[in-house]
Amino acid sequence: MPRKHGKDLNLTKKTNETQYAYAVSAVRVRQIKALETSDIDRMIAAPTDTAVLSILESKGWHSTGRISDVNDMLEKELSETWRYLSEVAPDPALFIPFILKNDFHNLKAGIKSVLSDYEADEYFVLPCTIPSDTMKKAVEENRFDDLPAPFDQLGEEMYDILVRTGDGQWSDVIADRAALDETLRCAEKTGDELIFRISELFVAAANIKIAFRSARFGKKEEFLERAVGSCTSLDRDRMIKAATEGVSALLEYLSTTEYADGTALLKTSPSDFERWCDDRAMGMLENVRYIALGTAPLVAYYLGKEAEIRNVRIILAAKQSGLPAPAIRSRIRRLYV
Amino acid sequence: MDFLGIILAVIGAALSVTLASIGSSKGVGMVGEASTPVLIDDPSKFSRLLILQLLPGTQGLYGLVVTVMVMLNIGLLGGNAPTLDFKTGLLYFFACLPVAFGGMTSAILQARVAVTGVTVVAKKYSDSTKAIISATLVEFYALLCFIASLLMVMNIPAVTGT
Repeated sequence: MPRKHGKDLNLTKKTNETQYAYAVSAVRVRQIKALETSDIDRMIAAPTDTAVLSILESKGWHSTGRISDVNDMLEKELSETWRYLSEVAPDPALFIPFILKNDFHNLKAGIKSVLSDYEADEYFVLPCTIPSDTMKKAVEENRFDDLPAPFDQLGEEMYDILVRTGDGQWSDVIADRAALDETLRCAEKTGDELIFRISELFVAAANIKIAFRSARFGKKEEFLERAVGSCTSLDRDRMIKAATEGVSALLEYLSTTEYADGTALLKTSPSDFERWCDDRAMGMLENVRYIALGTAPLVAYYLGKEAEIRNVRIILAAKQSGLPAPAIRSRIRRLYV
Repeated sequence: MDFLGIILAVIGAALSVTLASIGSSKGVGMVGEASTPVLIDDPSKFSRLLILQLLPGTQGLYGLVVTVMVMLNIGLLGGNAPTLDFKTGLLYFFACLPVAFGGMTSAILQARVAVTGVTVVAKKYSDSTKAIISATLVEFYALLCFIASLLMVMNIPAVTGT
């Protein structure tokens, strides 16, 4: 079913801004310790990855000093951010569109792990809306009915595909498409314009990447119809048609959309397009620092932390592979400070 | 219909303290909520935060002063049941409105400015005086409403000649 156009969306829900006085102040106090551009510069200039960890420790990050624990540290940092947001926000459900993708990832990882005789929760990521224990039990005991919609039906379908055909890619395509649709549905349900606009950007970027990869590998229309989701800022049918015609046709269509500047980067490097999308999301939050009350400062807090973590991950990976400072700098995302 | 005048005057007096206090309690509460996380982080910032929190509280006080003035003027505080003609009662009623509505609105708006000031106290303590001055500017308009109400209430007996 085609999605409604922007003008038809109901994004007029008024939140009681004064309820957010405590929450906004609470996250702003936390943002005092956020990484700044100067910290990023210091990390880029640091001689080794362990020196980067020392800088993070001085900023209050809980590092063990061992590079092998970095993934745990980053995951804990983001989980703690989400836990704090949920604790202080009057209505934490509003921010679920930003973490919903992790639940879909956990469902995929859980089913695949069980079928490969690994522990179901070995590859789970946090934060997520469905508790890890619930997800683990559901996939291990094949009781997807215990999961909320749409995970119940999706889990059944993915499990069935993997058991019957062993086609992991097809199972992933179905899960990714469901994640995109559900994210946008949840964002629309919040009635919050900023949350919807940012979710729309993430979903549109994911759809563009799917279409671009499909065009490069010559995927058929049937595949694209299943993989590409809907969003208000892209004409889904035109994009699918263009993708089936090839990369040039797709880029030509995308040059007519609001993502033209970013998609031009796809020709040279898909990772540059990802950076463009992340920076655009941060750009949407630029004026939020002047907003005293409401949901926007909380959105900025969570997404700002995500951007910090993404940058730390990039810097650490670059340090391990010995990339020079200019190359690292070109990959760094914009920060919210 | 003799009682109508006194009823109108009492409604005006009640409105002036009630609405202004609603605004003040909302405002003080809002700034208090915003101040708590800053205090948890650094209790030494209490003094500046207290000033910001107190600012929206003055409107309730203005409302109370006007209420007391009305009650004194109509003789309600004397223990007798006064009589007041309809016209005088109506004059008291309208005289109370500036501090009632102006006080309520300005308290809430002042609290919003004070909430942003709390962020300044948290992030740039050295600039927090500027935030306090900004919030104080809103007070000026609450003060205008208070003075307007007070002058009207004080001069009503002279106007009516009672």
